Amino acid sequence: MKTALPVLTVFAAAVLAVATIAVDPMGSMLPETVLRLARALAVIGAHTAVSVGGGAAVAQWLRRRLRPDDTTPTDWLTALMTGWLVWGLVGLPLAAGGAWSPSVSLAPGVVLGGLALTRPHVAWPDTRGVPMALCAVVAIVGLIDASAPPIDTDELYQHLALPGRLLRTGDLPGGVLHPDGSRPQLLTLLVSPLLAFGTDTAPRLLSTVCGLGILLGTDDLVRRTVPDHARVGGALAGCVLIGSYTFLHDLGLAANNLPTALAVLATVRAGLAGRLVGLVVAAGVALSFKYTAAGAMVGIWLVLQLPLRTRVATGMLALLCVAPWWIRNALEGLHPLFPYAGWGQLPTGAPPGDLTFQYLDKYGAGRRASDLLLLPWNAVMTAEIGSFRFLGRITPLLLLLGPLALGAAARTTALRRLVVVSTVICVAWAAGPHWLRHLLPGLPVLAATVGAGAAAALRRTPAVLLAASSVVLLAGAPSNWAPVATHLADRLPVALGQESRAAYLSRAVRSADAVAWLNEHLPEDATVAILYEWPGHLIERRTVLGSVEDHVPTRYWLLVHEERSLAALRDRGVTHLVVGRFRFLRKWYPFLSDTVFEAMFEAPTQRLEALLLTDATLVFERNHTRVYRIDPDSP
Amino acid sequence: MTHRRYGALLLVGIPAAWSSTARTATSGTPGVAVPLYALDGTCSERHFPRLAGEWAVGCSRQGRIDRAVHLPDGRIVELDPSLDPARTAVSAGTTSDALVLVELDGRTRVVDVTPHGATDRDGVTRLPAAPIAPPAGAPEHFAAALPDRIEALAYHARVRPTFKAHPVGWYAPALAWPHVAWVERSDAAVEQVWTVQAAPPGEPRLLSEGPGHQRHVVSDGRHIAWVAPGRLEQWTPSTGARTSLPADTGFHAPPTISDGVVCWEERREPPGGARPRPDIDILCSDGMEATGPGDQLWPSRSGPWLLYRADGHTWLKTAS
Repeated sequence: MKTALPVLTVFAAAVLAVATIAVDPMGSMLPETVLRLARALAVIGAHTAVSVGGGAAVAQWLRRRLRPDDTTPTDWLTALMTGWLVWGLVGLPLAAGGAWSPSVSLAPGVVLGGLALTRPHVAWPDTRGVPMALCAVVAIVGLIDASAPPIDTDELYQHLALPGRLLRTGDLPGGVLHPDGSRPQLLTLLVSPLLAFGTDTAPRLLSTVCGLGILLGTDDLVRRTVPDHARVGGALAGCVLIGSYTFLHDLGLAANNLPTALAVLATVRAGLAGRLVGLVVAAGVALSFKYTAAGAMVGIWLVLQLPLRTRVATGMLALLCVAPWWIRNALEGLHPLFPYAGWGQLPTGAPPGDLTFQYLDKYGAGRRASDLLLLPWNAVMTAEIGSFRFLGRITPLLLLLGPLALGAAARTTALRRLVVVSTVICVAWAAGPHWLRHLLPGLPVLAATVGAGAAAALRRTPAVLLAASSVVLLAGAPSNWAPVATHLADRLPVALGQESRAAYLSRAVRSADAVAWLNEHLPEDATVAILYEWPGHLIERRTVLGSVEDHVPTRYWLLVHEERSLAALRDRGVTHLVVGRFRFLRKWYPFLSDTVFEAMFEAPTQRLEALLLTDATLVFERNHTRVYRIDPDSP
Repeated sequence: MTHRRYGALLLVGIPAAWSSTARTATSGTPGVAVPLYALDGTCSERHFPRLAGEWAVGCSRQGRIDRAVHLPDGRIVELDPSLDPARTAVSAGTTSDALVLVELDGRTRVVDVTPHGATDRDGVTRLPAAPIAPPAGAPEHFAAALPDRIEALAYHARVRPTFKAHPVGWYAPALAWPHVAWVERSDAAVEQVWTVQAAPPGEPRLLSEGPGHQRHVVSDGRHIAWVAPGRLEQWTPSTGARTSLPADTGFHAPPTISDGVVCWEERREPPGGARPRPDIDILCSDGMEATGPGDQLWPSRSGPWLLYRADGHTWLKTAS
């Protein structure tokens, strides 16, 4: 009788929930939408569970190799990172051997699941200190965004396109026709089973899971750094994250920023706690996800309280976790860091002139000494979410709490070490492209630093600190929260099923109509080259090329093959082209001479337009995106 | 709806050889191509700007059809609200200075344009689904390609005879009332031209099939023309006459037809190999052509006028 009532209550709740959706005369949420979301949640839940469980078993085994008497439970973040790394390392030979498929993509999960059955001890996070309201914000933003169709440029051309291509062909993409695939593909291997079994919603829920993990991990880091002021410090750190558009924007996105941020956080926690296995594994995962984590790694290794030899050894082991991807590139005749470097040394030829992967001067508010001095102010106060001026927005709370944290740095060793790591993160970011999303991998550590530091600095007047922080947080709301709210409001009808996914894509992605046409009309065995466009994930055919920074792959092809560019594509089996009408604006590249701009940007674009008229046949155009059939007799 | 009258100088540019007086640079000067700045805006669907009757119709901003220019006197009629170029057809009206636009975008919108302004027709028949290609228009009829059928009817028809078909999207049907033609794809993925008589209703029949793709079917209301490999085909439904002329076209824009005269983009080897690749010129079956430096694209012919795009601008040429 004691258990009957709770069971009955849960059963009644489930029945009522189903009935509420099923009999709703307004059709507020369609049942198929609920099923799609439930399926994605189940898949991401299982994926995370086996990663943590299996990862904990592996981490525990590794720790006992180092210290046989180590019986402490494995930290939850270390367990998750180890699980992810195992997933990638088991998957790499399978994918490199061309054996990947939806069912094979589960193999690493099966291995991890088997290991999880050994019931390793996991130290779960303490959730008492984390404001549930912040977690609710993360969950709601992530669920809405992930339930709607993907429209972000990066997820369409890379983070969903690569796992989709891997599942379709069974082979790891890479090389000059798939430059994105030559980056470390750990995340692609992790995401491909999510995509195969959880629709395109599950890969994006991975970011939501990471967002929740970041809140828990940040709070934990604050608690370890300033245990006496953990409540205020944790709340402030959470507000820095939740108050920033750039963090919220990624919560339902298929992207590597939040997984990298979680891996960086795991590295910091393991490093400060002196957990060597966790340190190496998390650093390897972070670098395999995104090279821009390197700045944070340098900072962490600077403050490690380990003998120099151990520091060097752990650093080498962390790099060893990334090395398979560099070796893979080298074996394929590419620069190990391709596509970031090596465009001039490709086996397919070198373009005339310097094909730079990324022009740092293009982003932010300048790189002169005076600009760099003003960078903290400009990056926070003058950033724009829709332009190259930092391409994002973060809360001004950082500017209020940052100086307080610097002032309090002398108080404790733990805080001082955190300030050093954060400083290196900021310096490394300033040395790279001034995009706020590139700061995202280090943002949780920054948030923990300023939250903990400010709480320690104003430990006697926490009410004043919280009131002042609230004022600044709210002042930043219109520029940080309003764009997120507008974005979600636009996506909510399609997330609930009130608007069809096709209709939404048609109005949200300019190439969607062209892609829908080619998915319906092109032969199943067609191969499509994507030129000056992004929609790789949406195309249900084999694809090559596609966007990377500044359309480098397309420009490389046109610069190297010149008048034979389309014929060279045809020689490689390409039958059709998806071509965007794209114009490089001169004002984006004021740092380039007219000669370089004309030769490296305008000339290849004009050559393509001319070749399309002579070597291809236009078969569809809508919204400035065209579909061409390559003429069989082009020279 | 509003209308304004501009001097010819505001509408068209003055080529250097004709710059002595403003009046010589009107749009009616034979043999001269002048830039039509009033329609220089890029339409989101490149089939526009185009001609119909005495009118040139195109876009001035945001890629939507918002402007019609009456070529004989230079009047501009602003179209407000604007129309979606991907869902709009234009045709000459029943009088010489009339223009009809039909837009199928959820509802059927028909706009009658005269030099004095534009008015929407009421009570126009609505289609049950969104077309997958731009419609075809005539003064009193229109045709549309739906995913599983062809519709061809009078604007105010109460009965809609439908014809089962599988038209390929993007290719607009052609209407020479009561005959409609459209493009379908065969099981072998080859494009074919089909036709049906809408009144009295007949059975769809294959009008042209391979070898090679048959595509880009167009009409001037009396004749129907389309592209076949290496040639242009023309069919006159009223007589059944069928003619063919050689052409290397169909790779970019559809041909255009007016009073039985067809104009098209032609790939031509430049004299003396001046360029490393063929040059695109516009040729017409009556001998009119648009040639010169660069490529001449997107032809639209109506009576003596030929509209086309070259060097990023819209040009209007009048037959000699």
